[in-house]
Amino acid sequence: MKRYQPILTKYLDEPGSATIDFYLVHEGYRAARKAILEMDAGEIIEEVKASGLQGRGGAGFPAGVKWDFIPKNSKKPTYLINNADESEPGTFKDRLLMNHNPHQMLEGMIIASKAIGCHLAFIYIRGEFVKEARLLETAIAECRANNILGKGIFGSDYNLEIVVHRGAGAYICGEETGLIESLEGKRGWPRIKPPFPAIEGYLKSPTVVNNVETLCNLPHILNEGAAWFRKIGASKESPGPKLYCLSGGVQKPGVYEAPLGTLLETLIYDFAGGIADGRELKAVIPGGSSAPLLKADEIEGLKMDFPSVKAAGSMLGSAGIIVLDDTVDMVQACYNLARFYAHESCGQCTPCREGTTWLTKILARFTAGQGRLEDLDLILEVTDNIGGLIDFSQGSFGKTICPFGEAVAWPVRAFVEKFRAEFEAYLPREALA
Amino acid sequence: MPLLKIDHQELEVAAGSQVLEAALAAGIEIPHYCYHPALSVVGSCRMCIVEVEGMPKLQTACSTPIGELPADRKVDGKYDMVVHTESEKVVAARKLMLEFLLLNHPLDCPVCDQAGECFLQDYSFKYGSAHSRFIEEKRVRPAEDLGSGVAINHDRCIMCTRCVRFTREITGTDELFVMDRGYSNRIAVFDGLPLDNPLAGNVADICPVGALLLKDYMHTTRVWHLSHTESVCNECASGCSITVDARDNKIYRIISRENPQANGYFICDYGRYSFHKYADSPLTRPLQRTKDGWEMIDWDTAYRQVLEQVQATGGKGAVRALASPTFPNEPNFVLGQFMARLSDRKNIALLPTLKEDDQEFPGGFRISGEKGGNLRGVQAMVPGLAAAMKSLMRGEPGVLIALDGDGRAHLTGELKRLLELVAFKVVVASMPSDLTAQADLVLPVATPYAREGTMTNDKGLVQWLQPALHPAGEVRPDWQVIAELGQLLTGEGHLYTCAGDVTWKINQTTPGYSQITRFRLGRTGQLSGSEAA
Amino acid sequence: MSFAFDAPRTKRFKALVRQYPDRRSLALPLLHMAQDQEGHISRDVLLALAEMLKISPAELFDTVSFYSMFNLEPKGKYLLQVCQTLSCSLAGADLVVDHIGAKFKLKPGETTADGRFTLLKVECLGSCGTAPVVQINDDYYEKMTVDKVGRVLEKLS
Ligand SMILES: Cc1cc2nc3c(=O)[nH]c(=O)nc-3n(C[C@H](O)[C@H](O)[C@H](O)COP(=O)(O)O)c2cc1C
Ligand code: SF4
Ligand code: SF4
Ligand code: SF4
Ligand code: FES
Repeated sequence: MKRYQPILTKYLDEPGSATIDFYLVHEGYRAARKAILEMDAGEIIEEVKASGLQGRGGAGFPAGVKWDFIPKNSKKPTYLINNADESEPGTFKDRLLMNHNPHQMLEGMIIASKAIGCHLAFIYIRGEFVKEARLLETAIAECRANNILGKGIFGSDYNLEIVVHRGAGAYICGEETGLIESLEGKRGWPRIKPPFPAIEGYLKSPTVVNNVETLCNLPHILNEGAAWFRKIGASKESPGPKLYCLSGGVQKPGVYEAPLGTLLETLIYDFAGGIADGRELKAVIPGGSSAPLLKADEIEGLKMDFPSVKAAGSMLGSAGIIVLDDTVDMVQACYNLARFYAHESCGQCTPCREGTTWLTKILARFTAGQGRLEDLDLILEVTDNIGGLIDFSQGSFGKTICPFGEAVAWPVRAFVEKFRAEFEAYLPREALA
Repeated sequence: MPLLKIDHQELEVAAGSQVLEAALAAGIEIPHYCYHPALSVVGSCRMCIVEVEGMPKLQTACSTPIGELPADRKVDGKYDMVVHTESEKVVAARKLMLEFLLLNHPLDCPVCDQAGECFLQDYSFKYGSAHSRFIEEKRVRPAEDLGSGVAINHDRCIMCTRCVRFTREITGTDELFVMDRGYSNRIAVFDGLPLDNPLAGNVADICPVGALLLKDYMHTTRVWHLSHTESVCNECASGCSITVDARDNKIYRIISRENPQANGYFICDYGRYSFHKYADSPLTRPLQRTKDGWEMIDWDTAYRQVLEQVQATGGKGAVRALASPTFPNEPNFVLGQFMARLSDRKNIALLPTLKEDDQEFPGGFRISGEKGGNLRGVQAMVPGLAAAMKSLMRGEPGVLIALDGDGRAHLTGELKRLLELVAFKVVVASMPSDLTAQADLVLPVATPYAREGTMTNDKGLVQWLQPALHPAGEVRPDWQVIAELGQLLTGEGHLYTCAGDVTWKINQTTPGYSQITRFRLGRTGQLSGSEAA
Repeated sequence: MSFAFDAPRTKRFKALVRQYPDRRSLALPLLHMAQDQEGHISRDVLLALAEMLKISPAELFDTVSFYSMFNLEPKGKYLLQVCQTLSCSLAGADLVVDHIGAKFKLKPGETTADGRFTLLKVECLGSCGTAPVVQINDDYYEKMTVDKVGRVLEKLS
């Protein structure tokens, strides 16, 4: 097999790759020009649908299908929001995409905007990314100076403005309806659905939220064609290039681009140089902290695409791969994540607000050596009561407004179920007697 | 219309209505906290979860709309949705939801004012489990004053945000908000901008638990000791439906009573706290003015006085009367009746009452600026009732019989002149007022919340005023005093034995009131016909 | 003391009003600008911004208090935010916190007496591949070790 040539990160090591001069020379906004001047919205949607591009923000929803939900001929304006909140622990790919090639992403936004009839698009970027936000502002100014954004772009009669909007420190604003509320200047409390954003999103207008990486794929799809895209990766159901974020106990943590369906072992051992300091692999969180962890023996032959990871009982999510080596204390790790979720719960719905802190308090007690045997079952029950049982074949049984409830329930549950012995080892001797 | 099946009941519902809405309308209980029919739906308490056939997740009934299914996809061949509210899964989930809600609750029902009408207490009793598995430290936060007589006990709050939505959507005053995030969420007011609007007290009514409390009522009594009288507020012409809670002939509080034709779900704070003004020193015996103040007399003496004064000052033709819009229809009707007999209603006019601007709120609630709550009723009771007093200024100075304005009379220049002009002033009143201050004789009748009869609000809605208190001392019902005065002056007997008898007579004789009977009024009243009829 | 944006920020505010389709959406941008200018979001800032946004101060406070980046109290000149979520924690974030704490005699959440440094433990900064990460004001300092953080602080002190 020919060695895979990076697509999204091909200019990673080239100096000046973030400037428009560089981008114009190398990519030239060809795809956006084609989308604006030669294609109508329906054609773009069809092409993207045909490519099989799935959202890279976590849920893996087909991008073209999502766009198609936008009512045609709506009297209200339509909005595109680029989700650059990148807040799922273990995920750090969008920052890289923005830093080294902001124009690729802007080009993707122009294409998506044309597809859904949007004339004002937002980049909702997490508040901590101050430098990235500035870089994007510069890139947008460059585009306006080159008639790539603004009025009558590329000499057409199509207008498009892009506004960079900074978040302010809230994980839940990565969830699309929490994000929309936040963009509207409110607390980021996710909304009940229906109505879905495609019908009533930002300012009650039809809205599409797409992840940075999803958008970055678009220029390539238009340039090379849907058929080309379908062929990338192990499965035609879940194709395309993917950025995998490896962190935790590997030799060379970082972002690696490889096709969807690349073996997890390849990513860990070839790309990231294997487990650090000659240690052993213990478990992997394959798709950001919300994905249930997999034990070392569960990852054998695991293809990293949406359907395969789901079949293995976890999810590809944001492809934030956190590697846990044999020195990791699973009780501490579980407590660490529970605490994260308790801190980030928006507090709107009862089970998540109360349950996340309850879990954290139980686990804190555990790590302090004051656990009780019955706490282990209690933890499992509390997670069920927040997020429902993990049963991927039947769908989830979440009891909350947004998937955050499941996002905390599943990983905590997996920790306790798969490493029960380590939790028991934390019990004081009396508790075991 | 979609066909819904809830448990064993079939319901036809409007397309797009929510399961909870439909269930409540049909009298099926689904426990809920954050849903309130007057407020936007947020679906956050997760208490109203039900099982919907064909959906793997439990659904929140408050935010699950019912649509019509195509014929070939109907459940069991005919239903558009089949809902279970008591299935095993639902019962278990509900129990767990209550466990979450009670984690940090201080479990202080024995000292909580909400006890007895708390949905947390109710639901945990019905659906909850007896003991908590929560052994961690509870979240403890001090109670706080929010302003406008409302206090919050944070530890009991279940974060349903009803109160916040109330100040955003109903009053538009935006004082309350949620502060912080997650487990630290709490209800707050901005430093220096307390709860400050004339509907503020409602937040305590709509708080489903004992978190928001009225300081006025706090720790005064327990709700199960109170009698609840369904009545009407008469402080303005909006005529809100209320429940008056009393014990030992003392009112402890007034709360709103739902009435879609009148107030909707709320009342204002003037109405809510109005009972206090009538609690102090109501009149208990007829009073006669003497050189050095007031002298208590008995009713016979009082009536004899009236008759003597009428004879001494120009006779029956010179008797003037003022009908009052703060009194029910019945005394006003009887007054109109006998004034027709005496002088063909030429000598009766309307007591002017205070007027302000209407106050309208974004949620649709309106406090009428017309402080004579029964103005529209009085006008119907006395045909041709003049607002101007010109006709009363003519002729010999005689006796004036005035129904009092319960402290809301407006002493206009015209009224002052009339009071100077007449020779002898009889005021029928429940409390000392600026009018009784000028009287020669005061005849005591029941205070507003001890009255019985009908009231007509400014939309023409007639409601039954139910007495919540027994009058004290020698006080007589207002309609009776007027009827007795009429008997005295016309020499004709009357046949009224209770307020209802007068209501019946009104029904028989008053245009627009042919549909109004005690029975038909029920709990929420009945619209009177157009006055022209 | 009342609050007003300085001249460049006033200009920026006017530009934002033209960019956004509605006024309230400016809440986060204006709060960031105000915090940049003042160091924290005071009561006066809230009152002034609420007016600009045409919402009640209560509604604005509702928004502000939700986000962890807005400081309602003054913070040190340098805000040392150490990520403590899983990947950073595995990579030794605690050692970094302890080192900073010992150097300035600070517990997380505290500010040095001279008002120069505030130490905070924060949740995932989105840079797990270069863990552990410390954000100092606008800048990320990645792959921190006790030595490296020591040198960075040396430069700031
Ligand atoms: C708790 C939570 C956090 C999320 N955080 C992010 C995020 O940081 N970035 C992101 O792109 N999507 C995030 N998502 C997913 C978004 O809701 C949404 O599905 C996504 O932005 C859609 O874009 P896509 O279709 O291009 O993937 C999150 C979802 C949840 C439930
Ligand atoms: S599940 Fe958690 S984060 Fe999501 S809306 Fe409910 S409380 Fe907020
Ligand atoms: S105070 Fe009462 S009404 Fe307000 S959120 Fe809490 S429980 Fe709900
Ligand atoms: S609006 Fe008028 S009738 Fe209603 S409670 Fe207030 S004063 Fe009474
Ligand atoms: S009443 Fe439905 S979620 Fe609260």
